[in-house]
Amino acid sequence: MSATTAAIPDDMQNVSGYMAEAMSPNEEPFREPLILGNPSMHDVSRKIIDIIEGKVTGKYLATLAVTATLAIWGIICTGYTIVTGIGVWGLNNPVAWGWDITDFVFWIGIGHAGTLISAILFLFRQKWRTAINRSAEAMTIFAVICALLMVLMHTGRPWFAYWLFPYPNQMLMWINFRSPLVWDVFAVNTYFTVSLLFWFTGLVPDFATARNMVKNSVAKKIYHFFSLGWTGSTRHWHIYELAYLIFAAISTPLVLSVHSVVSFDFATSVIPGWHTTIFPPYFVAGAIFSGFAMVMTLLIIAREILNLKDFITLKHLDNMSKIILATGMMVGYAYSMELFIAWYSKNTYEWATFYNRLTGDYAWAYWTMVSCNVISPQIFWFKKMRRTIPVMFIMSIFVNIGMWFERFTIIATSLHHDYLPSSWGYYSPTWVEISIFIGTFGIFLTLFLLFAKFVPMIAIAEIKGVMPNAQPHHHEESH
Amino acid sequence: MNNDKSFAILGNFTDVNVLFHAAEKVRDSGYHDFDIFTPYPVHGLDKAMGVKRTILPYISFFGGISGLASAVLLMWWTGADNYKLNIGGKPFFAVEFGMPVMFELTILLTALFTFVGMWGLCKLPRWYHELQHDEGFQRACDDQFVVAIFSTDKRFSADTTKKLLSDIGASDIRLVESGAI
Amino acid sequence: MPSSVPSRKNYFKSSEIFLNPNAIKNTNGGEFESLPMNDEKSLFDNGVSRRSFMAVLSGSMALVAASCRRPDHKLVPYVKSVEYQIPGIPNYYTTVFQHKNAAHGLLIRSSDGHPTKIDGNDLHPISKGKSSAFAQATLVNLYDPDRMNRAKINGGDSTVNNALSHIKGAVLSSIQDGKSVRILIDEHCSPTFSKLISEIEGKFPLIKFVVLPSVFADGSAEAMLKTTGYDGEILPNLSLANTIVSVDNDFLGTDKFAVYHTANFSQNRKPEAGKAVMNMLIAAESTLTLTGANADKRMLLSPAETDAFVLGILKEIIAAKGSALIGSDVESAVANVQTTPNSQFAAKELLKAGDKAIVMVGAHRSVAANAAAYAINTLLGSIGSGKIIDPNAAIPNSNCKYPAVKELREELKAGKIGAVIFANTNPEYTADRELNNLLKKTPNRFSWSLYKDETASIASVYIPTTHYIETWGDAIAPGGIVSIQQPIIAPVNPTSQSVQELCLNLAKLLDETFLPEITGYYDYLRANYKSNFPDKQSWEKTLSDGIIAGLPASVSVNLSHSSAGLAQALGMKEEMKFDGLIGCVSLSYSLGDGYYSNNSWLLELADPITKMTWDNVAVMNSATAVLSNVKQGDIIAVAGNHGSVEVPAYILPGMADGVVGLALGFGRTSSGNVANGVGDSAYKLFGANESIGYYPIKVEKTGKISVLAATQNHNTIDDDREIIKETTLAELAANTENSSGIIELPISLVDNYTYKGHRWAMTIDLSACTGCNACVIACQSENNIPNVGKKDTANGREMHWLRMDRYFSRTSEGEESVEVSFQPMFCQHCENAPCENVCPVAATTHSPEGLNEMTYNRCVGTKYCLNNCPYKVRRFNWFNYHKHDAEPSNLLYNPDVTMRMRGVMEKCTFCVQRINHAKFHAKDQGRSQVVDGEVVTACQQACPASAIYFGNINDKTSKVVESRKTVRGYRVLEELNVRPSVTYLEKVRNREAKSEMSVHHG
Repeated sequence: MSATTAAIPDDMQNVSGYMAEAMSPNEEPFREPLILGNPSMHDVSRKIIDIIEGKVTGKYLATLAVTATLAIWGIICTGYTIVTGIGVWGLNNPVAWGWDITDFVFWIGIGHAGTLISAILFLFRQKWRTAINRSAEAMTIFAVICALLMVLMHTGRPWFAYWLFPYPNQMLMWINFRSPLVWDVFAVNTYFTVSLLFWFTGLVPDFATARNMVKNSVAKKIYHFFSLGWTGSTRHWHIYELAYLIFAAISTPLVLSVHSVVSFDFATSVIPGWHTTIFPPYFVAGAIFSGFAMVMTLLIIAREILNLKDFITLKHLDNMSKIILATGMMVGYAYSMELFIAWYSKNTYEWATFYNRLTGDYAWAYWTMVSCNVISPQIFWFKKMRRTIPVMFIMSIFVNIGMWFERFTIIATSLHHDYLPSSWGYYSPTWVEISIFIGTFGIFLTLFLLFAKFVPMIAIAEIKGVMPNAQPHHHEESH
Repeated sequence: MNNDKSFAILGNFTDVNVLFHAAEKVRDSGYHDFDIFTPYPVHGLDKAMGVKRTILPYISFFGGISGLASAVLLMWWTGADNYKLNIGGKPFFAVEFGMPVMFELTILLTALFTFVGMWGLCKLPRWYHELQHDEGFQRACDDQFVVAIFSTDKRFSADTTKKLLSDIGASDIRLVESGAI
Repeated sequence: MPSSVPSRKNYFKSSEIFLNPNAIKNTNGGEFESLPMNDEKSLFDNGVSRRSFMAVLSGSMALVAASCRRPDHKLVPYVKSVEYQIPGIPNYYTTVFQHKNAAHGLLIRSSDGHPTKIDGNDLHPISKGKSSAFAQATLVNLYDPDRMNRAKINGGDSTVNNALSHIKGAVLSSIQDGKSVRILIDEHCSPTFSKLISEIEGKFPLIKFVVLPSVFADGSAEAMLKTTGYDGEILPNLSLANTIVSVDNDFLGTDKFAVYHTANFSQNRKPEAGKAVMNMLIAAESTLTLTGANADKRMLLSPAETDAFVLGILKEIIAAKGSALIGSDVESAVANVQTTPNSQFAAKELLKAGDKAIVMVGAHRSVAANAAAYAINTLLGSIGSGKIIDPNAAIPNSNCKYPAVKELREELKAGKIGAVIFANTNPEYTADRELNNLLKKTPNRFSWSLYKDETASIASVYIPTTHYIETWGDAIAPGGIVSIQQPIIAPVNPTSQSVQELCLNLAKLLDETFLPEITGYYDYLRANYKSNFPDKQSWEKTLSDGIIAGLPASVSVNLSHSSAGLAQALGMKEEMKFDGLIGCVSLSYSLGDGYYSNNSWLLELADPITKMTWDNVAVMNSATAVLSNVKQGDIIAVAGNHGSVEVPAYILPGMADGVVGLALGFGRTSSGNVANGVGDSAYKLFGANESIGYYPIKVEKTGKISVLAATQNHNTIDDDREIIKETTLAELAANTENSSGIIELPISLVDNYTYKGHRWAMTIDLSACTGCNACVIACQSENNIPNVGKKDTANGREMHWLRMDRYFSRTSEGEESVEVSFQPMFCQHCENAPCENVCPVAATTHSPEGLNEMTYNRCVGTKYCLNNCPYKVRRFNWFNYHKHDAEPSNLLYNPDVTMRMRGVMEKCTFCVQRINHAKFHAKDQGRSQVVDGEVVTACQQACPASAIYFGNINDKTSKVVESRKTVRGYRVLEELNVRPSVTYLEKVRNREAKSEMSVHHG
């Protein structure tokens, strides 16, 4: 959060300089406010704490029941797979990766928006992020949990998955650092850890607020514990803000690296359709694309159910729509460029693969992807569409579908027809795979609902920092 | 340095501009052992109070370096020294394939050092605070700013300090005694 | 897409693409998704009990008795270890497998007392150290838990003695009321058994043995009989032949002697730029057989044209050489025959080769055609001692089988038969419907057989018989070489007895004065060869050699013909008037006649042409399919005059219009859990005196659709990817570039590893390979490869480490010009292996000897290596496939190879266990290096075509290095710079024209 910058040491003055100015309270009049209804600071705290304290509504419980059921069903199917063998899935030779890795990449991609909002938008002094970064980060963490589950489950012997970590063992074996999968292990786990620390750091002051404001004594104790005894001391804020900035600074390259590394799984292989240098940027763009779509889906629901319309305003959704439009065109560019290079290279296998993508057994998947990811977002050129909730909601769903199919297309179509026609095959999932994927949605949504109920889902301190009259007027002169 | 039970003198503010000047005044009148509790970070307040720059960046930097080093050592020792394996005709150790892991470990340790360093420097977690039951003090996490001048400061004296606070526009000025609550 | 390079052929993975690639490309989904998984048969349906545990116990203990070749069958507990039995070190024993009347000398590996691998005996003239997939797979039946372990009387358990005395009673009573007894036996080539038969028949006039083959093919024997008076067939030696015209004679495929023929045929299929000489195979046929697939020139005939075709050739030959050698009245027989371009072409090529040419007509085809072939061969001079057709190479017991069976039929009709014993024959399954009904009417029916088969179910008494590996016996091969068949293990099922034993015992029961001095068939056998084995040493030598030194007994036959007889034979044409579809029934490539069908290795072995597993299919070309409006996978009812079968349709190019191919051997109903209900039995189509051949049929759709568990599916190479390379003899001869062997690509970012010591590599000669599948089963047997069942095979989960890829191509538009190419595909052991790089846990790494090694117990099962393998030769254990192994089938496995658990990857290891064995051996002898030829991989050992070379390429004198020094050498996908260790040698077709090779296809 940019209100921190006055505390930034001189060697960071360039940063603090523009941050300070960005945070200057004299809002340009034509800019619409970030928070509607011009509430007092107490109202802000109250409103958000009320979400925690307020009674559990039937609507909430019903939703939770559904998602929890899905989660449990998914976990049961996972158990069934572990007990019986991964053969209960539809995978075969040549298509040894199907829905499992598709889901993995899908979830990792979803996660990216959170870090992006909390880190990159922070560095780019986008004040509007303050309302949504908390939930976006939470979404990141839950998405990565689902991703980790999928990548764990896709192994033939999940009970040995810990062998992927370098530790001294009786086999005297070490892991193979040439393998992109090992890079994945490091990247995804780092990503998960850093996101978690970042998220928790942001939460501490709000836990303190909650500690002070909630009535329920048990809740008070819990929030007291997690607030680590935060008092709001300026001497602490001084350190805290710098830490926050450092987190933002390292998370930015991290988030870009994670999906690049994921794309290496494919880009460093020899399989036509996988062996492509465009993958890292293409995957990152896609990740942001899908991530923002998912944030949009969740926030549209949240602002309805939890009545946060004052905090999550149309302006936020508008901005996100713009980002979706931009990244959507980036992936569109990537699609066309892949195709062009395949044709231009005159490489038999490469071209055969892409021709097969367009016209082969999985053409339906390819065209679903294109229409969802490239064609439909164009609607966001119109401001009206960027401000019509139903349109944005449907679009966000479309984009999520499209991005799932993008991963499926890359994985399944490249594998099912590769070099030797004698080994070609066709893959279709079984009910088990489908159930497990649905299960991950259950887990994701369940965690998100619990988060929304028990954790301040809007960064109270950050909101206050960007409210009108939150900062001293003569701040500029003071420099 | 008096040795009665008084712990600190508190005064609340509601206007951030008043607070800002108050901070400067307290600093200028020679107090060192005081603090201002705010619900959100106020720009320049730390400067106004004369807070020294933190050493956190150096801790983080050290974390990053150690992450990079551990990555390189890990990959070189396991691959090229401890157990050599010809895998796909690739070298036993090379920067090319080492790059991702080096990067990730650098980030990871930077993050961990920053996190631990931050709380260490804040001397947190600390689940008890002498002022934590003071009504006015608790609003520092809601919508007010609390200036606290601690009795440990050598210039501290109940009257003069109270006077100073009232001069600079604090409301609800009170003395909190340690253990009083 | 890029238009294909003109000078290249296009290869088709299978028919549908071949017919209309675009149609296939545009289909959504693909066959598996769109079809319901009905009639799926998983291996694991069978709840095999822990039956016959004792049998196994005794079996494994009996190794002492059996393996040390002691005649007595007492079980000796393993108290003291036997001197030559070192635990863990296998012993090798010879025996002989009688595939009908074809003797295949075998060398069997016995690991700790139980046979674990079947290979050919290199001293035996027929197998020459090679072995067919079928012969190797019979090992599965040895340990088959579905074999009965009790004799049965009217369904109830009994003992063999009771059962026999029960039979004796029935036999005696029927003899008393003047009715005779018939013992129906299968074809065999055992001199001693023949002797026993004649002795029994001499002793008991009313008891008669009748050979009841599962399929009849009397054409050639009858032609011989008519023309020369010799009732039988001659085994041609194709190694002497430069030109072979095969007329509906699948000598490389379903022939009993296929291994022998393949070896001789392929031996002349390895031309080099230097010496561009090879034999030429011209195949005229109406279904696409393995022989046709390997032909240089394939002629598609409708069945009705066959006689005319052969007679046409004869006419041409007579025109060229005159008829002096065969008599003038033959001329009149061919006078009014129309020659065709095909027959002219064949005649031209035959004449070119002179006495190095032969015409072979299918034994099941007409007497006229076979006689014509005889006449042609006579005119060409290819008959005679030392020639291709050598009178000494008479095939034992190859006489006409129909007459005896016809007689039996009459006797049965007349009700003269009081009792019939089915000895390893299964007429209820194989015989035509009429014979079945007649047999069912005989008052007493007894069954001695390996399984409680269909016939056993109509018999009142059943006695289990032994597997040939458990049996004493002997066999004579063409050329008179006699081998002793020795048991390698005591009967796994101790109550079972060999048919010979049972005959002997029955005879003794009927009359104790019968051979009083003989106690068992073993004594009888020894007695029969007393003169040959004066002492124990000579006997043991014979057993270890596998052939009896001193024999052959001369089996030379007189082939001087009577011109009149020849002329008469030439008149005996087939009556072939078809107005509708023609059903062509032939033996199955994997299952043969179905006797050993309860065998998962064979059932999951892909048919070399259709690549079908676990099912019988009605094969037809697209025109026929369109005509009868069926699509790939439709289950159709094929109705003949005597019965009908329901099988899925399979559309295959290269079939004659209107011909629907069906294979025998499927549709067992009472053979065992594995085979029961797999496919449908084409035997049901046969009427009286009908067997393999052509019959009028009707085809109707049933509306049902089947999952085709084919290991290759509908794809095509319609771009210029060079996976299969093919050239013509003309091109090869023209090739002047010097062959310094494989050129390593210099491109590499990093220095390549240097391999000191051994560096293993393999070469596959595609020109010699005929696609016979022997290597696939050899690999499966050596490496304990599990079977996965129909459902998983349909989903592409078959586990074969070595798969036989089949590609279609064509020399001109129109599918009749289809050509087939085979390519054994398995781990290429790339130096820069893509699979190794991606394994996160380093479970697959490269050995210092160039092997791509898989460490099973380190594998986590990410399957990333499989994805990144350009050849897709890695195999993943989707389930625990060995979970359902029942006693005693677990004895089947090779103890030198790890069993893989579920969730781990596996693949070809270049038989690393054999490599290590050889290295230990070398070490024992104080050598650091293995001598060339010391390591023989399982596939290489089995390959009848000797198309596989394996060895150490650091040893510059090794055969494998030699084999790589050729212009034909190339490596699949070497442009990826993965540096495979396997070199393929281009397939060469014996052709002049180059132009006809080019095909454009989008």
